[in-house]
Amino acid sequence: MAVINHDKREVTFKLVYCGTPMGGKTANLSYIHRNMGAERRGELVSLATAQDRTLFFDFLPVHTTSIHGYRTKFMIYTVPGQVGYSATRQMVLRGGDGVVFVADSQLDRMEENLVAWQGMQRNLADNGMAFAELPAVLQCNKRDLPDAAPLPYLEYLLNAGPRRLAVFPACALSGVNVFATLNALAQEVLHRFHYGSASPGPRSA
Amino acid sequence: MDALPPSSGRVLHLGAGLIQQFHQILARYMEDSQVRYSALLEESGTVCAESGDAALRDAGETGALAAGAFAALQAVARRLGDGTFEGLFHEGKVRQFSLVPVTPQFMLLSVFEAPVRFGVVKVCAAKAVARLQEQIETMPITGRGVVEGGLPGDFAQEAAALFRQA
Ligand SMILES: Nc1nc2c(ncn2[C@@H]2O[C@H](COP(=O)(O)OP(=O)(O)OP(=O)(O)O)[C@@H](O)[C@H]2O)c(=O)[nH]1
Ligand SMILES: [Mg+2]
Repeated sequence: MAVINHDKREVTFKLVYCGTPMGGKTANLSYIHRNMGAERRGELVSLATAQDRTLFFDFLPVHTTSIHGYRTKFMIYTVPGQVGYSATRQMVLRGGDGVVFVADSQLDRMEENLVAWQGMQRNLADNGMAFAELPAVLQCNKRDLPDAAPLPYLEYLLNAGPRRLAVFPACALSGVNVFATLNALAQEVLHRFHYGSASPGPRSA
Repeated sequence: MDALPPSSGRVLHLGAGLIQQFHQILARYMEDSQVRYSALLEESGTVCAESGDAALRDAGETGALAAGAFAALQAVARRLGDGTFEGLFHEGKVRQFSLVPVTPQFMLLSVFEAPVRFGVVKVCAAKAVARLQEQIETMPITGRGVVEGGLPGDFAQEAAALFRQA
């Protein structure tokens, strides 16, 4: 839930990176953390196993310079992708103001992509959150790998419903479209914040 | 998991008057209990009001982690068949802290050290929680951020390139 602190002149939003197990959610946050000026971000907190699998969540607070005198803060979370962690994902998603779905482009990950996508819809529904109205963007990650599926195929799988999301082909390791993804979501969230409804249409990369 | 109020897409307005009320409640609570630091956290860990030792304040990491720990323990309690959740208490060698629910969407964080005792903190916190609840009931929650006398201009229009590589 967005919080406006009229006293500190600060608005806070919660963004959540969901997606396919090992799809690169944490990699997105660590790229943002490494490449954003220290004055614009806090520390990256990762609750992970020794093998770097996200156990609970990653968390990174970032903020923009002020817009109309209000400082805008985004608290960015990732959920754990592992199959058995649905309850944890549901918990982290709660109160989210927008989501990025990070899909894994590798051809042999299509079933996992679909399962994770459906799982996210279920988690949102169980939280009483309507996906149709939630600011969201789709990131097709790992485009650098030779066995990456063609984009139209991923879109057919994940983005053929009544609602078309903005799509970003990305490589979270080298940072291709990592900031573009974050910007697109931030923009949608702010649009909804301002107008009280989802933005008119997707603006993909 | 229990059905929770859908808070996504909603906007919580913390006006200056309300924050002042929160600060007064926290200040009185700190005086009664002698805790070093206390904060009212929203369910995602956003600090709505805080009072006490400035060294214990941070950019949001502590709030997020505390809210996460709280939510996780609450979920464990539910799964183990206990629907009543009274919060959590950490007894450290140097410092103690407790987190107690205020309303389903807010919690109170208290940090204290010897000779302050948990029992005393608990009793004082219960009083503070009752006062905070009264104030929270008056808090406006709307579907959008623009209220009368609120934010001017078009936020989204100006946010076209919020984040860039440093
Ligand atoms: N080639 C390539 N590898 C990537 C990319 N993004 C992430 N990886 C690798 O994929 C693996 C998983 O990345 P993570 O960021 O941990 O994935 P995650 O989605 O956070 O995983 P879970 O939290 O366990 O669900 C790591 O070995 C990353 O280095 C990418 O764009 N290209
Ligand atoms: Mg991860």
